[in-house]
Amino acid sequence: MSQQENSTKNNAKTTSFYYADGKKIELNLVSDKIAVQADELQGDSVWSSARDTAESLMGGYSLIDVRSLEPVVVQKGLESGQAQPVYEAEGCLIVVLPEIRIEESRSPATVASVRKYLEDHCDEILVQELEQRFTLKLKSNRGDAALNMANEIVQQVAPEMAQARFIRLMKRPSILNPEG
Amino acid sequence: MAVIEYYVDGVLMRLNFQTGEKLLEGARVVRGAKAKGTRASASIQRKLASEAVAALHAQEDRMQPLMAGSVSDESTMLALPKTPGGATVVATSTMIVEKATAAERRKLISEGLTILNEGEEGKLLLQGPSEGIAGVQEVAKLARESVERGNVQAAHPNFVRVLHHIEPSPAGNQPLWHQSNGGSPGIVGADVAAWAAWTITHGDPSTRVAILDEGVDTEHLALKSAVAQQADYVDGHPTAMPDGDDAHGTACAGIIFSRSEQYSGLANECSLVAVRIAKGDGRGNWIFDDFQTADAIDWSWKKASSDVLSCSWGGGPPSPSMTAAFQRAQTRGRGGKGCIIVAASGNANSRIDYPATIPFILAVGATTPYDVRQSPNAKGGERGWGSNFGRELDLVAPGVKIATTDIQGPAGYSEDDFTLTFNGTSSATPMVAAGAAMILSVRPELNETRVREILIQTTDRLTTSGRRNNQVGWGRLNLFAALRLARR
Repeated sequence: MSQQENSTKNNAKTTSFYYADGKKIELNLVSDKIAVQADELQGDSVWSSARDTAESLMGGYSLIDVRSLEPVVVQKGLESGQAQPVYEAEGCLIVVLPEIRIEESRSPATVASVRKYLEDHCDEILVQELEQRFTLKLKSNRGDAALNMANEIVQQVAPEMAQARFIRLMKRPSILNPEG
Repeated sequence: MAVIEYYVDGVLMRLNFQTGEKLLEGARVVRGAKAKGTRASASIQRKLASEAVAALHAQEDRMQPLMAGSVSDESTMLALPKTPGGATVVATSTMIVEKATAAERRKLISEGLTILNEGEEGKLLLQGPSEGIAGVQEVAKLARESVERGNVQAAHPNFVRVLHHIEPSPAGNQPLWHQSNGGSPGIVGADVAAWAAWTITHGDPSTRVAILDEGVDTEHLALKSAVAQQADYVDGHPTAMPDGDDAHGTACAGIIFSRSEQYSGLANECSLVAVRIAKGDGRGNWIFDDFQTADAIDWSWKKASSDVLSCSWGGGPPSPSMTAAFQRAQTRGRGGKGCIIVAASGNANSRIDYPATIPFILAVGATTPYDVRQSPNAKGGERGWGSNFGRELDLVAPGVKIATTDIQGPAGYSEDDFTLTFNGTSSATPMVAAGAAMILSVRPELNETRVREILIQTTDRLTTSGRRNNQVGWGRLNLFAALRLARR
């Protein structure tokens, strides 16, 4: 099954996961939010009705509430990579972007395995290699596909680190007016 | 500037003095200059000098014998305080001698000294032979010579001290309780023993601490001169200045670096690396990017040569990319000796937040002035939050109503340039980072593991058994004890 087919199938799922320290960390899909490129919100776009709910994130993305949008618009946006899914884990909202980092400094054999995996998937990704780090951009522009591919790399190649890019929205560390 | 040297317990002490007149002149000159940090410092000095001289005039009748000739006007020699709340020391042309032999007494009188008063336990107050600044320096010399002859228990110049009264604030009447807790409220000594630690070091400029946070007001008068490097991993700006009311990083930085006379940082002679990794959304949330944060961590140890990384944040699930970057800092930073990484345990009265859960990161919780873990019901604590706890907790430090820097002007936590009520494990974390920086300032060759061990071994144990527990870890940070062990 190709990465694309795999991720399309996963769209129906309400949970996903990623690996950290060898453990699976569960991510719960947030059904009423998606992230779109801030540029997409300008002008007369399909997202314009959600413009008032937009909250600026990082990496050029904005978080929007999908309740003012037609479900078909949301679905098409996710499938085309115009929009990215939003997950929740441990009280933190996570937007998964279509980018993966792989790091390996321990073993030349593992580096070779990483390269082999990337060659096998060269039709799906653009790869940049720099100082024991591979940065992958997914041609599909889909964050959920990046999540799945990162998991597949951990399972098949087991490098030191493989992770899809997350933007997090979490409670700020300061405590305002604690006595209030 | 004049120097007075005298013996205390066999050790030659050196005090740098400035005349009040000079300080006032200096302040006027600097006031017209452009360097903002210098202007503030000079302004504070000028105020202190004026206050000290005025205070002495107010006491003129009572102190006449001591003030004769040497402390009556703005030419008075003043040693301004190094520490907040410290005394302005005014030199006089009198000296104190303890337990002088009869021969030594005769010798001193033969040198032109006059006995003004004889106190308990063989104490003598002696007036020097001349007046003014020359008289001040002469009695210091006579006192030194008397000690060197070995016929007295002690001999030293007599100083008048002008103590500065700190106004009580809504934060309580000890805004710097974390540095020196006088027990009002709280327990005497439930602090990080900063004043004692400062007798050893205020840090060294070659030691760099990175504050990875929502930006730091690097133009703040009390911080600007400490800034060594800065970077913005949120918007790519050339500085680490925060957005709007994003004051958290500025408050964290002040706990270590503030060079304000009133609200001094713990290791304020160290250098600040300000790294912006997050921004507020204006609704109580933080936004940050795992990859950008990992890059910021790498930049901190690799490009900015930071020795210590202070992370007053956490929460959410672990990030493999950030963990890997922290691992590189810990193993490859400081030329392979390793960076010390400190992170907040979190404020949810619950389990420890990531990244403080990473084994080699020092996980820091918060205590109240009563030396107990801050929880919603803790004595001397605050109602709305609790310091996270668990098996990963290493140590604790004060975290309730901490005085520190705030964004300049009306933005931030207060209308002022300082806040008296910064709190949370966010405030405790930079205290431990300061501890690591102070250790490295006196022993830069120590590796990361040894610095962590020292900080943990020298905590003041808060459990009755003296053992570690999940509430307070190994105990509360003690900077003085840590420095003493580090120097051995």
